[in-house]
Amino acid sequence: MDEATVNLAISTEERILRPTSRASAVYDCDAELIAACRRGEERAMEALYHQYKRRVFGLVTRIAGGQDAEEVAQDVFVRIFRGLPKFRGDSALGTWIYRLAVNAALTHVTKRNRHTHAGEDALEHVPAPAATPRDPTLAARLESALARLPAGYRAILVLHDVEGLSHEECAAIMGCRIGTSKSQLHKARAKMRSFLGPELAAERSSSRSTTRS
Amino acid sequence: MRCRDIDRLASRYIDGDLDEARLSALRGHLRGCSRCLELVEDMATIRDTAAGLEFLDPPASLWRKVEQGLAEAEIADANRSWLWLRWQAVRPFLLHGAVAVGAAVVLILWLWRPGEGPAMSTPIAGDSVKDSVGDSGDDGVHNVSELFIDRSDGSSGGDFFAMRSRELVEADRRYRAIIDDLRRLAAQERANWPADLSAIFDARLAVFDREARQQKQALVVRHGRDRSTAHPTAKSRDALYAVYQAEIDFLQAVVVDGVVIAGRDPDQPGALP
Repeated sequence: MDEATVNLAISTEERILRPTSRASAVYDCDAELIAACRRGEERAMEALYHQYKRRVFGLVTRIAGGQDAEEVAQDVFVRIFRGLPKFRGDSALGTWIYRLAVNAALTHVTKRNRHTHAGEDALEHVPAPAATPRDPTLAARLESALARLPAGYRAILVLHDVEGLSHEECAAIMGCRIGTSKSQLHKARAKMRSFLGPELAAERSSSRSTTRS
Repeated sequence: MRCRDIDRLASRYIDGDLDEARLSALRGHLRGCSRCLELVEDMATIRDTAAGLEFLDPPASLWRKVEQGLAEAEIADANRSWLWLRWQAVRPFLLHGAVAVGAAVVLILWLWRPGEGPAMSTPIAGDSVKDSVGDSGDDGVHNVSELFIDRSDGSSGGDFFAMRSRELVEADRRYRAIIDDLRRLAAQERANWPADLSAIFDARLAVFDREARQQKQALVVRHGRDRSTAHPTAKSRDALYAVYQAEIDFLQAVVVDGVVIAGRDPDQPGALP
């Protein structure tokens, strides 16, 4: 089916397929949002999309690389909306969405490198996405170094340090133990340090000079 | 604490995930070791810089693509066979169904005991008998309450066996109430009987008492032998209740038909041996 046909189907049947709630589009809690999405209400689906779009897109961009991020993010949101009827609420909605995003991103990375095997150990050897051009600021250099990390380390560092999740949440998302999450994060930071050696030394010296002055 | 310990703990240190003792030792080490101090500073810099990374905004076209993906998936669903759709509708309930069936099988196996019949019923005549009859326990064999009740306490059966024991005690009490009532009525008749007939009647009642006592002793023996069993076996109980029922039949025949008639016809229920 070509794209034009699909777009036509969306535009003509949108009102029927995605009913609009008479109630306000503001949802007090995740349960209301989920219930409205399950009913297929367009406003609710859009609200959920806007609530999580930056986190999902940032996560998949940093794990899977920028060139495929849009495709992976689209896949994640389709999975979210298709999977919501099966969402039992065992975990928080955000945790569930993060898990879908991380799984989709890691699966994408492994598919891109079919000669390697899936799994945490194998993921450490998966080549990273192409590095972004060098930038003088430390944040940009860190983004660049992040892209060079093995995918498993990348995922845990993004979840914990960038997204600010706890180790409990990281473990739930990654499907591992809390201790594993901690040790993986430590290894990821150590590897980042080896990548960013000169930049970190410069940062140290500049901060010390600032302190002295 | 040595440098290699710092290599292992630096990440947990900057996350505040160390206990007080190791925290103090690590700080002490950092005061005199510039190498480890740099390591910790670098880790903290990485963490802080990562935390300050900007959010990445998705392209504006992403939502449209998501809608397109959903539409494609729904159109693909529309072209699927009815069997697949039916399977998808049933699949969420498979686990619940399996659990329910499993629980039912376990419950049936738990309740079912070889040789045990349907739930024990109390005697029919018992409904018309007043419960004012006291404990006839002239020989101590009629009181089986302790036998049943103490089995329910502390055994692993819990509420189920407590309820079961209460039912058994109640059934026993009602049997004894009927028998005592009938005996009282028969005793009024007995006053008019000749002495030899009365002696035979008394001997017959003594036989019933002895048989009942033996069956209760068998229950006690079983009870004492196997403490893991939460109640006496149905087989022994049925034997006891058969003795009760035979005595009730005998006394009813004596009270209703009279022992004289029964004495003439040995096939009558009230016929004395």
